[in-house]
Amino acid sequence: MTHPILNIQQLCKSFGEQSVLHGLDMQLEAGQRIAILGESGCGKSTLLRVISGLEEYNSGQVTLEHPRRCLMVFQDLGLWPSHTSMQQLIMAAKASKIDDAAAKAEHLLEQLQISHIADRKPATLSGGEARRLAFARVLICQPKLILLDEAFSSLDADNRQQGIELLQEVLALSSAAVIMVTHNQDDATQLDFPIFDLVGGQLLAR
Amino acid sequence: MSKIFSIICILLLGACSKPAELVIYCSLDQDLSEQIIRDFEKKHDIEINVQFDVERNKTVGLVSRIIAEAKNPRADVFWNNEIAHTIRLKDLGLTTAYAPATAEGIPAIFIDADNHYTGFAARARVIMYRTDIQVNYPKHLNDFLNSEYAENGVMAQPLTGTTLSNFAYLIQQSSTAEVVQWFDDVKSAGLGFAAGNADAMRRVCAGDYAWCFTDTDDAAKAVVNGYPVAIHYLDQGMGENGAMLIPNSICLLEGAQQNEMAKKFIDYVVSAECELRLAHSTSAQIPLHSGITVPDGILLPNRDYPVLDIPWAAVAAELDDAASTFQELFVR
Amino acid sequence: MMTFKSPWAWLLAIVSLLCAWLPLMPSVVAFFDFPQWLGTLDSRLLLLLWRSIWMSSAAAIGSLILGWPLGLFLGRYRFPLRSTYLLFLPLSLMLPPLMVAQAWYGLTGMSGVWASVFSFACCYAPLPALLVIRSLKKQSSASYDAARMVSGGLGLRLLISHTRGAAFVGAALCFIFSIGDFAVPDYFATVGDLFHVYSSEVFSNSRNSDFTAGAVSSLPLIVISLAMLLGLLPWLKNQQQHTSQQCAEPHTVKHSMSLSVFCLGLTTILVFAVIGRMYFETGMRGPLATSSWLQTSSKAFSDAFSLGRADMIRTFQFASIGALICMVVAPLWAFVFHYSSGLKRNLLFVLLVLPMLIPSLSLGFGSIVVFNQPYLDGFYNSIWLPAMLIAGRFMPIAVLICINALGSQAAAVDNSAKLHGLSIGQRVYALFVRNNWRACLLGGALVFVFAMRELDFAILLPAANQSTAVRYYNALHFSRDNFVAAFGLSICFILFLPVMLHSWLSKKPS
Repeated sequence: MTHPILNIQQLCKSFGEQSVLHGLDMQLEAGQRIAILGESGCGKSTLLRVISGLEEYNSGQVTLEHPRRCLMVFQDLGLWPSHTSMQQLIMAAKASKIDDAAAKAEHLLEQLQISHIADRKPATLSGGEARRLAFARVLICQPKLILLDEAFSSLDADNRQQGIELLQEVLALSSAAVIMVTHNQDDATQLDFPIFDLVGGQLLAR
Repeated sequence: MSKIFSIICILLLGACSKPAELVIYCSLDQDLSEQIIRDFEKKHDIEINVQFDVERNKTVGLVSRIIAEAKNPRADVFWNNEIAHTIRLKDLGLTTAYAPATAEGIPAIFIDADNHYTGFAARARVIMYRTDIQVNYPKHLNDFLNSEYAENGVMAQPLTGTTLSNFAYLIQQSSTAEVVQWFDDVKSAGLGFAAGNADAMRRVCAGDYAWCFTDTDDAAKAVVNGYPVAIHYLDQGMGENGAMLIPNSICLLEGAQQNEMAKKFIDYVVSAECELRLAHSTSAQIPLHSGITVPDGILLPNRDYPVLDIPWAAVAAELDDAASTFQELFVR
Repeated sequence: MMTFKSPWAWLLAIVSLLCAWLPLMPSVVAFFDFPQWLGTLDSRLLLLLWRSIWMSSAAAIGSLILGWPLGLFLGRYRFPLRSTYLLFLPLSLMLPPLMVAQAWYGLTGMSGVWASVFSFACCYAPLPALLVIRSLKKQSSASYDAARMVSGGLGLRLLISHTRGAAFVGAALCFIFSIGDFAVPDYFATVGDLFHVYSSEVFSNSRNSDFTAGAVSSLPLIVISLAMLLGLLPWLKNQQQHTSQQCAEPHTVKHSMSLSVFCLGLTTILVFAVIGRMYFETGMRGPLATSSWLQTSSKAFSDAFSLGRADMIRTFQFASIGALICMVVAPLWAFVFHYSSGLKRNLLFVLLVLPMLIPSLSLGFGSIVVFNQPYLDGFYNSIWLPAMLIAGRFMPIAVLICINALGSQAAAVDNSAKLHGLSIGQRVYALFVRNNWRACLLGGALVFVFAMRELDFAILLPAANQSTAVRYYNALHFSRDNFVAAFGLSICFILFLPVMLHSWLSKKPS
């Protein structure tokens, strides 16, 4: 059995008196891709924030094999407003100590067919271009684990389909494990990810 | 980025300053003293760092600063617009002896017995009254107790400056209780109180009151500005007659870096020429050198009116307690 | 978030130590005498304290009455001359409180307690106005338009509820600045009926060699102001709601001329009346004068320039350096607060604002005690000392603005940077400051303006003694009214010039 890149044991997280995650256990192998479904407010985003280290947890254990290689694509993408697309990729790559950052950034922009936005800032990008850039920024860091937080929730049906296709394109470029959080089962089904339900603060496999 | 770097360099370069050749702390009004200091600066081709006080501090700001800096003194000379706090500095061991030759002619009562300070260019505590109306103004301090005088008059609260010194003297001559009672009595008699001597003067000029108890420099401003006022040198004597004179004072500070130049500056300021210059200024300061021909309107002590011999050392010792007493009495 | 392994944490700690906490130390030590001081608290002091509290409260309410509607109308509606009023609104913040007091006394002859209250309200009304305008820029267009479609009145109610927090923050700042101000009440007490405020007592206690007495007696004011500021923190956190929705833009309304006239009235009270009166005073002559108004005015400006030029340059230098230090360090503080919570956050906040609340004289004397050392001669005499004290004292203003800007930024921006492993320096300066340079600049500009007005500790520091504030105050006291007016106007004009230029240049077609 391979060593899991993510190991969660008896994770508990509450906000004040409200318990969101309650004794949650989870293991993720390298390259494994799963979807987590749940209703609004059940704690899906909180789980991702705890895994990534953005949120503290009350008790339990969360172990990441490559903590610096765990990256997230946020619902509102989190692009850096004052930097061009190329600058964003280079900054991210350098922070992850990736060599030849400029060359790799250029190559990645080509692979995702957004070379034309290299010198543009996020405010001037279309929704699709911005989404591709957000994925590119994650990919350039050679992640071991990619977290997707409601990546397509704000999109209409047509754009959602395009988003799914983009994600398939992106995932083909990487061997990273993926945890995708969504409330839409079709997203998970289309991507053929095993589905887990987050219910009562615990993760249940279907 | 290079523009920002250039701006920062300019600011940093401007932030550097070479040390001055003489450091003076001056409580006399910036308007009156600045030009005198700059003229000395030009004459001797040196750079003077002069530090002023603001009027609302009434001297104490710079005095407190000298005391706070005692462990590593910065100033060479302290030019004070009164005398009591200079004596305080002497008592704290922060001054050093120097007898300027140009002080010859200044009466001994204005010079420290140990030569730690020299008094010059004084103000008198006076009654300024309007001449365009019939005014019953007081001739003696105790006249304030008479409502016939009091209800038309105003004086500064004795919280700071020359008014505080004046009433610290009275405490020294009698007692705190008596002076407090005196204030209660004059308030009952209808005497008005202003924030300061200049404010009292302005009230009379504005017609709110017929007379005020103030200093000659404030009264002089009213005269210069064309208001119909005149001055009476108030007798404050208990036993002996006399008006109260409060001189400027200047001292050489302990630890002065620029001893020789500081002494030259003191010589210059206490000289008859400088006194005459201050006499001709808008504040009409009273020269203490004998034999000076003063401008019209300035009356000389002992020649034109009797002057009290104030035991300034004892008055200085009363200052802090007097200030606390009056603060409780008036700041409410 | 920022541990002491990070060099930025060290920078923050060292700057705060040098600029604020070291000069504070002597006074803080004296705070342990407070129980003894409490024993001297009597009816006289309580009455003074009560007077200060109600006067400052009235001033805060006045600033709300003047500033809130002005901010609402300028921030949300389009009407004739709107851009002119917006241009001049910051100028009102640059007018020194004493200048406002002097102008209103000259215009109306008002004096006494209520004149003080009115002057403070006018001085600080721009704070609620400017904060309301900033708040309106973040209002969701959808929610506002939905309310407007129901009725104009509902739209207005929504505006009021959206801007309530911003307006109250501005009013609270008015309260804090008013309760500690001694100069304006002192001025009105000199020209009218005598009265005293609690800060008079603090000032009197600060003027002797035991300056710590002033710090100790100022503790009631510090506690009240701290309580108010700590009360503002939850609001600031609530305001930190980034909206990814489109924000509402100003729009035209019916009765736009009436709105314009109303705003003209308010702007006149805050700005034009004061400027006009000061300009008139530059040429005022006494009964014996032989020169004309114009000649007197020209001479006043000439004197202001020749006598005050060196003071202005010196003040600009240390105010600029102080503002620059704040612009560099305030974003770091904002990040520390953003990622702190609970008791730790409140304690840090107290440490940050204490230098602003303590009497200025205490800070000045404290810096003499700490820095007047033989081996620090060059530094002690340089403008770095006043610049550092300026930075330490007014840093909270810049920090509050940065906290607000950071909260308005999408959380995902910094979260993604954190996950990508960007350093603190990159997250603060390359991302936050670069994207929010206007907010950082506003913080620096406000620090600069307050630095120009600083009087009390300026007297105590060698390089700051000959400053614009000292010259202005002395001239005011000695009734050199022409000079005072001309000097005050000159300073305001020089401060306002970059604002005017920026406004003019940004309107030019590219």
